[in-house]
Amino acid sequence: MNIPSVIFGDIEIDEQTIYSFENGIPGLRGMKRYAIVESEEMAPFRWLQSCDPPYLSLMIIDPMTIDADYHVPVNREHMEQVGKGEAEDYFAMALVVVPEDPKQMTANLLAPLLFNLKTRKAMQIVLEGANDSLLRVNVLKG
Amino acid sequence: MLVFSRKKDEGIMIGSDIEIKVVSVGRDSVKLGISAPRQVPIHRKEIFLAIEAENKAAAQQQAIDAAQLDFLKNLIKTHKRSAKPKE
Repeated sequence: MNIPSVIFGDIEIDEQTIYSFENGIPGLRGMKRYAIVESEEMAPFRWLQSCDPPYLSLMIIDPMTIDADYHVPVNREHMEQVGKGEAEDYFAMALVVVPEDPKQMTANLLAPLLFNLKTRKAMQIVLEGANDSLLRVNVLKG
Repeated sequence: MLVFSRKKDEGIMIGSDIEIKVVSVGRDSVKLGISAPRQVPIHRKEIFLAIEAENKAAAQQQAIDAAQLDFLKNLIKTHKRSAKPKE
């Protein structure tokens, strides 16, 4: 399908690659289908491209590139939403916020996005009992 | 907003499968117990609002123009270079 992405202009998205956020993402109304767009020059950043109007593009990063020990415990509640799978079927991404000074960009490690590669379902989860400061973790250190 | 008076160990039902119960009452806080189906997300309100605001902030970046994107790419390149372990 063709998406009039705000950032990339018209891009072609293979429908097989779309992830469905059945409950949406809080604060982002009306958008339930997203694809992950990547380009080598933007690595390690990627984009979560909404396939529903207003076709927003959200910057994301693999949280492991910020904290190698980071992991998302997938519980029963998550499995009910994104589907059961093997450990390797799941992966997490963190939303990135770029302020006016891009050097101060932060990633949301408190509420990562959890994806299931096989079922193509995804959701934003909240890490239980985690420190609230994980909401804004500096992406660039030092 | 619907307002109820409840005592310790009393509760309310929301629909047929969500129960909120008063576990204990302190001087300026109340401990609540919530039973709900697993697919119902339950969060402290301030956390939910903070996450919602952060998501909206992440969505604000539609204004990133080509120049900013270039700047960002350079920043990433520089960072990658400086992040390489020194030999």
